[in-house]
Amino acid sequence: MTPANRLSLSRNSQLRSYRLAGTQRCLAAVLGGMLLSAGPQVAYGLCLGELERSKDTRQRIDQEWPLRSSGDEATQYIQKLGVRLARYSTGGDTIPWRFFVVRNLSPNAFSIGAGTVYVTEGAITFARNESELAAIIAHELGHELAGHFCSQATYSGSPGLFDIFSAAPPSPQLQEVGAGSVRQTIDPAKEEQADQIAISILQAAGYSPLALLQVARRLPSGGETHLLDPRRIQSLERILDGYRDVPALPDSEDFKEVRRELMR
Amino acid sequence: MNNTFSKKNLIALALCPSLMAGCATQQGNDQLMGAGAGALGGAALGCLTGFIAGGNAGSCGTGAAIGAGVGIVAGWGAVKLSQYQASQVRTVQTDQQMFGLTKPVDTTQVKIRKGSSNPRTVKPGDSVKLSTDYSVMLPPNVPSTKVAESWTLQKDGKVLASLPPQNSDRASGGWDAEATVPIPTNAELGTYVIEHKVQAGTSYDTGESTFLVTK
Repeated sequence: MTPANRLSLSRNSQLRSYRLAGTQRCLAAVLGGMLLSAGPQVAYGLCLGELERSKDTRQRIDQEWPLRSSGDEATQYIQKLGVRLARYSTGGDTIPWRFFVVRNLSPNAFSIGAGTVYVTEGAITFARNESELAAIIAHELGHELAGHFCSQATYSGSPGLFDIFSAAPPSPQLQEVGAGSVRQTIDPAKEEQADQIAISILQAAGYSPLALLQVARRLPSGGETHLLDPRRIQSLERILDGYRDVPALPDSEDFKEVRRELMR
Repeated sequence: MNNTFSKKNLIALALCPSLMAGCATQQGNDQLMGAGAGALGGAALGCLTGFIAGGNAGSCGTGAAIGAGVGIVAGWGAVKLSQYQASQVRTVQTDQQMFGLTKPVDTTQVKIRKGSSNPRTVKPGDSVKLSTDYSVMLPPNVPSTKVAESWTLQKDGKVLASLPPQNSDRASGGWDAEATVPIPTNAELGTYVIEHKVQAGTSYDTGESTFLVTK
């Protein structure tokens, strides 16, 4: 079996489980619709209670994080790129995606459920090309599409989120870290699942899946944020083992313009 | 030509006006940036930009000339803060109640609550008071952080002047930074936009306010 075939089989297997997650989402939406009159509001494609939980977190973030306005050029570009990437996923068109840009120079991205994703300015300027930025966003889409916000446990104690770059310490397996006052539990298994979905999306959208590994390798190590995670890199290396890169899409003019503007 | 050495020198030159302005007191009426410093800042920045774009000292000279010219021609070459003061206007508890910040943060954040310019309509020769109301959110074990407050004056989409940043230690809570800017007597009539900015570490925020210069 060639390495390329191995990757292909692995991807098919991942897509099957991914589609299963999509089916579960649809089922949840149908059940949610049946309970609509008596229970919490359910949006199509989202899990029961996900919208309400995400709304709570978003309200908190609105008060706490400095965000660029929705009409801002960088935010519109990220929204466009995110929605375009979601089109290349199974079930992505059933999620009401909303993307925001955080005024923070440190590279990171967060998803809080119900299709709401935050990307820092630092992530846009950290990306050396559009493939790397697409990889960062695709990872966040992966959390949403994998149904990681369906579990109440994600939000236990406080509103939850998943970010792309926070690394869990060597032990224990699950570790809580925070962004502002919003906490998240880092679960390596979920991170790997999000990475697998991201790789599928990147490939389907014409971006190089290797960009996800490249961006993870370039993260700064040490300091307060502990962004570099050797386990994460090992996991990505395993998933992408033998992958033969294809010519990636050239950077769009929008990407170049937004990045140039933010770096001024 | 040793490019590395030259670039370092040019960056140092560009930073000089900011450092010169850094002697401001936190609360006082000190003149923060004298006449000509705006042109010098423009020249230094122009020099640096020209050097980066052209990659040689000639481009630096051209950039410096253009940079200096922009500030003077626009009538804002000698722009300065005639007064600056800042004070804590909300305790951390008040900020938490007001904005629903129920849990402590674990990374430093700043967020502008309101940026304003008063009065909204002025005549050339008058002054405008710029006010930036912002929150500082710090992790529980961090007593204070360095915050840079700055303002940029724009008209018709062009930056006319960047007022020197004021760097101070700030504790958690709500802060109000006020700066007064005299309007040059030869200032062009029309609407001016002030970009208010605060930054602490990697977190920063901006806000906008406007004022109108009429006869």
